[in-house]
Parts: sequence; structure tokens; C-alpha cells
Amino acid sequence: MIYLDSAATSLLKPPAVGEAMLRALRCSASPGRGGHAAAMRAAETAFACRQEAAALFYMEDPEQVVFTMNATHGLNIAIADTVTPGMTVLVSGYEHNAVMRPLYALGAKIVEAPTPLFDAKAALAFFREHIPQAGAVICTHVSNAFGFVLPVEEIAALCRREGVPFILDAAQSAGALDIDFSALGAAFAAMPGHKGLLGPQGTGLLLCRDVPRPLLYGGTGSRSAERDMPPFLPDRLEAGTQNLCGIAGLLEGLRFVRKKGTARLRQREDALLRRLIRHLKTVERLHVYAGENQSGAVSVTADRADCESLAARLGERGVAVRAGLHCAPAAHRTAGTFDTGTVRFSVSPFNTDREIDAAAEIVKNILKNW
Amino acid sequence: MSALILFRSLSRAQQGVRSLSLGGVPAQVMRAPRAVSERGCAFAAGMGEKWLDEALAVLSRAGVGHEGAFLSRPDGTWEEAAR
Repeated sequence: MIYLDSAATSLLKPPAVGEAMLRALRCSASPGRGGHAAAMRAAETAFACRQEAAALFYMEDPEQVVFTMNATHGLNIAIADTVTPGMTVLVSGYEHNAVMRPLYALGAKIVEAPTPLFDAKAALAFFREHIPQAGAVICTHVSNAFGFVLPVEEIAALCRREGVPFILDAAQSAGALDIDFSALGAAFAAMPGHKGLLGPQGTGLLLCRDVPRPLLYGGTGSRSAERDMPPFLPDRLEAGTQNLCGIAGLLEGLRFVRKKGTARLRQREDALLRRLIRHLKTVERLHVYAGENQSGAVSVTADRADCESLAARLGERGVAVRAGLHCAPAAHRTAGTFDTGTVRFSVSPFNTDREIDAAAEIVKNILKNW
Repeated sequence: MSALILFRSLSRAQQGVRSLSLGGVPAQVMRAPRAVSERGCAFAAGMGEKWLDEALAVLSRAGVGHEGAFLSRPDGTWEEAAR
């Protein structure tokens, strides 16, 4: 199989990830739930994971790193803490349902930036104009559907200047692009563990500047005699037993990313993506959505070929991609692909040039006979 | 005789022990005795009594907050260290 669906989940991972998970399953209990060796081993793993994440995202305090189930979980915490019903919330035109649905559920007044694909300047201009009227700003770092890299450093700077809370959706960028959480001054950054951080599914991180309201209430292994959740992080947001096996795997993913360096990983991904785009652009009747500010993923539409059918045909030929709206209907509306959907190809540093060449050739052959 | 420094949470105790280790103080994370953790489950840094003063100084320098220091009595109970 040629796996080109890493924007959904990084199936290709360092071997240490799976090994650590199995070790944790066999030898580790739960952090904070006992003082015996198995519980303390678990505690060491969890703390090491917080430390590794804090170092990767330039944070001084590992206690500001909260474990979540996924990016969606983190975004729900961040949004519930920041947004009130009727509040004007400014978002990019490329947001995922992980942002949009919580906002709709809360009754926020959503203002989307309807700016063209890969036009970072236009996006920034829109944010510059509207941030002063916003109660909060939420922006994806990279569009999961198109790989469009939004100018989040500049947007965050505008938010700091205006005193508007900024929430970063780093679902597609964590591990792939450099993120300096301290410099951003964001209220929160949410990310999954199972994409660019190369950990397993069911893991995520929420980086917190302050101490938010909990989304879940329950046992934390601390201040158990009190009725309220502990007023400090990470305990305040980590009710219930943690996914320690997942955290053990995530720790190894983070170690890999830190060891290789995000710059090197991005360079590799960029080279693969550019190679793929070059090939796809030579395919007749294929529209390739490519631009300068692009990372990790490229979407295509084909004349006369339904995106789901094309993805299914690719799957039959051993190429794993994702078709449809990618849980980001807002992004597809903005890009003009809502009615058709797209086929998304997304790379990881573990893909090879040969795989890219072969996948493009398969696309070409399928469409030749469509 | 042994001593312990009480922390608000497991992760804070881990931060504390990490700072102590960097400061040359041997200590380990342990569950706090119920008698010293009025608010319920808590974690502490355990160490030999002779290290307590130095440990508190290291934590102060590192900016790692704690919730009290205790010494063991010969009968196995704990008393707050008068510091």
C-alpha cells in the first residue's frame, strides 16, 4: 500500500511508538493512581511526555501541557472556556468542524474570512480589519483539506495587540511546522497526537496559557477530598484515567520529531509534496489545488470523475487517500469545491520518492481509462 | 528520620523532584501520607532529613511551589517541619 492519507492519521510511525505502547500495556498502571512501581512508571512516562511537548513548543512549564483524546477534545475545552453565546468569533475560511460545530452549538456569531485559497495576504488583511470587533479568534494553522498554511503568527500578533484571545488549531501543523506557543501568546493550541507528532490515535495535547474551566469533571488523583476540580493544571482538565499506552506512544513520537527537527521533517514533506504536485499537474482533466503556502496535503478534482469513486479506484490499486469534504465543509465552500468534494493526497516524512511517482502514475492510468 | 515536601499534584511533585535532582538533592516522588494531605490524595518528594533545608532552598530558587514540609517521628507519624 502507498499510504497518502497522513493528514487523517500518520499510519507510518517510528517503530519505537508501538514498542513503547506495548511496554506500557504490560508494565505500567495509571499516573496518580497509586504509589507502587507500576503507577510510578506510568507517572514518569506521562511527565516525560509533557516535558517533551513543552520543549517542542517552546514552553517553560510542562504542567501547561494537557493530555486530551484528540484535537477536537482540546478545541472543545478551549472554545467552551473562551466563547459565550452571541460572541463574535472570527475564523478563517478553512476551519474544520472541530472548530465550527462547537461554535454553532454555543450560539456564537461566526465571522468567516472568505479569502482565496493560498492567499495568505488576503487572509491577513481580513483578520486585520475584523479582529478589533471580535471577542475571540480561532484559526487553523494548516487547512486539512488543502494544505493551505494560514499566517497564524501574524494573526496572533494582531490578537495580542488588540487583546483578543486567540485559539490555534494545530491539527495539521504540530510536528510538521515550527510552533512557538510562548511567542504566539495564544490562549490555547490544540493538536492531535496521531498526525504529525507520530503518536497513536486517541491522543492529543492542549497547550494552555491560563487555567480554563473543565469540560469533564471527575477523579484526578489529587485533592480528592474536595468537591471541585483542582484549580491548577494539568489536573483541572484531566478527569478520569488517562490513555497511558497512547501517551507512551506519543512520547516516542515526540522524541522522534524533536530528534529529527521540524525543519528537517518539513523539508522532506515539502519535497515529496512538490514532487507529487508536479506529477499530478501533468495528468489530463485533473485540477490540482496548489499554491505557495502549502504544507503536507494537496487536493484534486477530476473532470467527470466523482471524488469518492476516484478515491475508491485508487484504494483498489493500493493508494490510500481521502475523498469528500474532509470534515471541513467551510473550507470547501471557501475554495469552491463544496459541491464536488476533492480527493486529498497527504504525505508523511516516511513516504518515498518511488511511492510518489508510482501513485501519480496510477492516478494517470485510472483517469486515462475513465 | 526522613523528610518529605508536599506538593499540590503529581506533576508538581515531579517538577520538584526534577529540580532537586538538578540541584544535587536525592529525592523521589512518593504518595503523601494521608495525615499530611488534608485535601485528599497528594504527592510529595521524599528524602533523608539532612537534605530538607537544602531541598527547600533549591525549590525556592527554581520557583517550584510546595504545600509544606514534614519530618517523620520515631513512632511513624509526621510533624510539620518548623522552618
